[in-house]
Amino acid sequence: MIEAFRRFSTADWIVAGTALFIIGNGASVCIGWWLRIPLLVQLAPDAPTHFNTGLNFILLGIGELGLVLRRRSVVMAMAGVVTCFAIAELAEYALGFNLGIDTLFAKPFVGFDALHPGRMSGNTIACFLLVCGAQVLMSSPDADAGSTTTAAVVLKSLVGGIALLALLGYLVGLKSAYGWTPSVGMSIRSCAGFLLIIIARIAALWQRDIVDKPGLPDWFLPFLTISVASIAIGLVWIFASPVARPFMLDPLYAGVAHRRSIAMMLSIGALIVLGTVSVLVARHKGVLARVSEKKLSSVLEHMSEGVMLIDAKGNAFYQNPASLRIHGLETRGTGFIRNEDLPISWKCWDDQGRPLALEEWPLSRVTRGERVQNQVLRARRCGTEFEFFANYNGSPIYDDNGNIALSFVTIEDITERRQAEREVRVTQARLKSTLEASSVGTWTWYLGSERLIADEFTARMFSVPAGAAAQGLPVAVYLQVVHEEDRARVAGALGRAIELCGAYDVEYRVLRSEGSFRWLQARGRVESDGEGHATYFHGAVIDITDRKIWELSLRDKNQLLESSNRDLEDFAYIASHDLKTPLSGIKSAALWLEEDLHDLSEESRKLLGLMRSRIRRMETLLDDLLTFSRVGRTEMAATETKLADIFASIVEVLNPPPHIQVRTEGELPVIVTAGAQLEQVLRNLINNAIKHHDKPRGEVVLSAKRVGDFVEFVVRDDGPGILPRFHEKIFELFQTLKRRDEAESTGMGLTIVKKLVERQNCRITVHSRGDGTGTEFRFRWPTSSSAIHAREPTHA
Amino acid sequence: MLERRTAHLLHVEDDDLCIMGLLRAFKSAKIANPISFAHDGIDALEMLRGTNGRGRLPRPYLILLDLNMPRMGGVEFLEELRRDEDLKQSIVFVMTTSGADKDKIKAYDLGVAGYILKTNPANVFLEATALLDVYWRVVEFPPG
Repeated sequence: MIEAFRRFSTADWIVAGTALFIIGNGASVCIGWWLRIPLLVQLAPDAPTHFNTGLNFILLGIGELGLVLRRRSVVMAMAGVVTCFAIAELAEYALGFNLGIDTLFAKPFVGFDALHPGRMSGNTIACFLLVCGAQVLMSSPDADAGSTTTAAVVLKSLVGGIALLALLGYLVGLKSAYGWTPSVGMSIRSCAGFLLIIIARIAALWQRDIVDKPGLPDWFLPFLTISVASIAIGLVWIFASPVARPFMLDPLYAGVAHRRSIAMMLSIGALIVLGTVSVLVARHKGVLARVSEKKLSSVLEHMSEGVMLIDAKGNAFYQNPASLRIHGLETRGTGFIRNEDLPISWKCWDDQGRPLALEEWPLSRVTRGERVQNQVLRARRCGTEFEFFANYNGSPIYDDNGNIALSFVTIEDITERRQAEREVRVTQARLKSTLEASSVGTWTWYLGSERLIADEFTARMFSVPAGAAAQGLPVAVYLQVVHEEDRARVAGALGRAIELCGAYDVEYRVLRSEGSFRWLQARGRVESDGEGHATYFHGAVIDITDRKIWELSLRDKNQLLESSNRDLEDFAYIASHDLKTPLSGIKSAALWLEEDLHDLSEESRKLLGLMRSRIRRMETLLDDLLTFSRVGRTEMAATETKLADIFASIVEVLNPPPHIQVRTEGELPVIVTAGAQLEQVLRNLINNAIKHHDKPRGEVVLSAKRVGDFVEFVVRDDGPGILPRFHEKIFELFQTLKRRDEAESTGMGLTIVKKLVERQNCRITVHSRGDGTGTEFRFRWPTSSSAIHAREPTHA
Repeated sequence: MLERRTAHLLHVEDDDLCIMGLLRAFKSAKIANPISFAHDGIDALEMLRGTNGRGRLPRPYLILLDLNMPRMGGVEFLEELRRDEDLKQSIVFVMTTSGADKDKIKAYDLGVAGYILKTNPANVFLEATALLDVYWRVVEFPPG
């Protein structure tokens, strides 16, 4: 409560003081009735202030206090009670009842001559109703909206008019002016009470700087308001009764009243003249001009920038919708914020995130008379998550006397921009750490300036000082460091990229201070303006020394491997070839021996037979070895190949035994491929299938179908199959799964198949469970277009 | 028909097994033509020229030449032969285990009458002998 008083503005003090006075006034009336003190009850003999009037004044005063203390419930409660009182009394007049409320709290001891002792007069009732209406309006949440304020002012002006009229009535002794109901009128103290409330309210309004007051004294607005109201009331009074006849409540004083009526009319006439003059003065001074400022206000309403007007006390009395939106307030109303409310409603931080003291807030600064220029701050509504970033500009506006009349600030919402900026910063930081981690340097060359700005990594690579590199160094400085053998190439690539506004990608060596060099890869791009002129050139350098070393050593190793492979193949070729000569000698010798010796024992004949079979095996072995060594030596020529012809020739050569049927499944296509090699593969596979078949009847099936640029071959048999654990072993050199004497095999057939298929960059797979349900070999073989890739130059 | 002079066969071969094979084949085919043997190119040239204390090989003759031999191989021998004014008309059959194309081309470039591949020694001598038997009965030898 004390805190609330501390935050009071002058306007609040005026209203609060008046309210307390009115409460005191009302209380004194009530005490006067209870203690029967005539002086406290009536100033003029025939018009007492009734107990109920005093009571209502107390309630009205409490309502006013509620208003300044921002306690809407109090205002509503008080206004409700007073309104009920007033309506009840009005009902008594209208319906002629007596509800007994007139003398409920105090027995009348004066004014017995009245028709209803203790009952308020009609004009008092009207005043109470009007004041309550104004209070309710002013306590509403959008009390600062122009229309609400205007409505409240109009209601209060009417009260002022009525009270002024009544006072005039007392002055000229004309009862009809203060006593609207028979036998009773508004008392002098009531008049004074109402007038005080009105004057205080309008003074408060004036104090709050809601209105312009160009060079006019503080009393002018209340005076103006009451004058205007008087004009209205007075005119009504005159027109309602020429010579106020119907309001002449006391016919006995008709003659006197007539004279008084004239005096009254004269007074009112004077008031009207005064009011008219003051209205003219106000117009001339521009007080009323605000009404016609619709254009300006509509501009303000549609601006995307927020505008806030601040009075000399630092209260924000106007905010345009943009400002309300930025501050997260309801977009109705004027957004009145009292200076004292600011620190409890908002928390602010400056651009760097430091808390900002109230005196550094833009509103405080302009109120002090400072200009605010591009003050960026972050603000958060206390107790909420609502937060915004805004850029404030503002300036005070001085009146003719050089005092600050009001000030304004404009608010630009930069929350989104701030977020974008923050994201950019985060991205930049991430990029930087990524670059640092990945040995990548960046550089930018602004082509007009001939200076190349480089980051730390690039500077280190080129052995130039990082500070100078960040400022920009001539391109020549960097080129100087490039290995002399590469320099012309690099300069040429740079020139070409600039000329074509294109990309730049070059690998070169840079000399290091210790005499060694490192390999760099530089990639960049030239950006151009809209007209195709190169503007700047940006790119990155990567240290690829390790990769280069690795590449070179790989190349050496590869060459070594190739030559050793070639040696091996040559060896296999020569060995197999040269081994054949002595073998053929042995073969001949054995044959001749058998021819010459006619009387051989059975044992010797058997031995000779064994010798011949081993010789045959060795011949096959040497032939296979030769074929195997030729796989890598012979160029594969792609020719048009009829697969059906190949199949027929294979069957003819292999000459399968009658119990095994070798057949094809589906159409065999005609393809362009390395036919000789393909025939070898198929022959070996079909031969294997026949050779290893262990059943009384069997079949070997070949199928081939096109899959894109390839033909997928399947060689399937229904023989014994191959156990899965041997599926890899069968493709190895010299590996057989049976004893050699059991099946004549060199263990090279599948090795040759695999080598031939793999030379075509394809794979062969075997599918078999090894449980007597057969075996299936699958492989792909390239045709025309894809076969060309496989025709790599060979070293045969 | 005039009685033809019996043609001589000069077998230039370093492998005794091959010599044996040829002799067996001649024997089984009952061919009586005389055979001389040279173990390499140099040896053969001496015999053809009658140098180094060797008796000159009687004309007409036919040469059966192996390619892989010590000291002077078949190709070298052929080159030398074609350079020799007296010998350059010699009829030469190559009989070798080498099936390499470059050897065949080289041999035919040097004007051989035929190139026989010793794939299966047991049969090839029989076949070669049969060929020779027909050849020297049918073909006219260069005069001299």
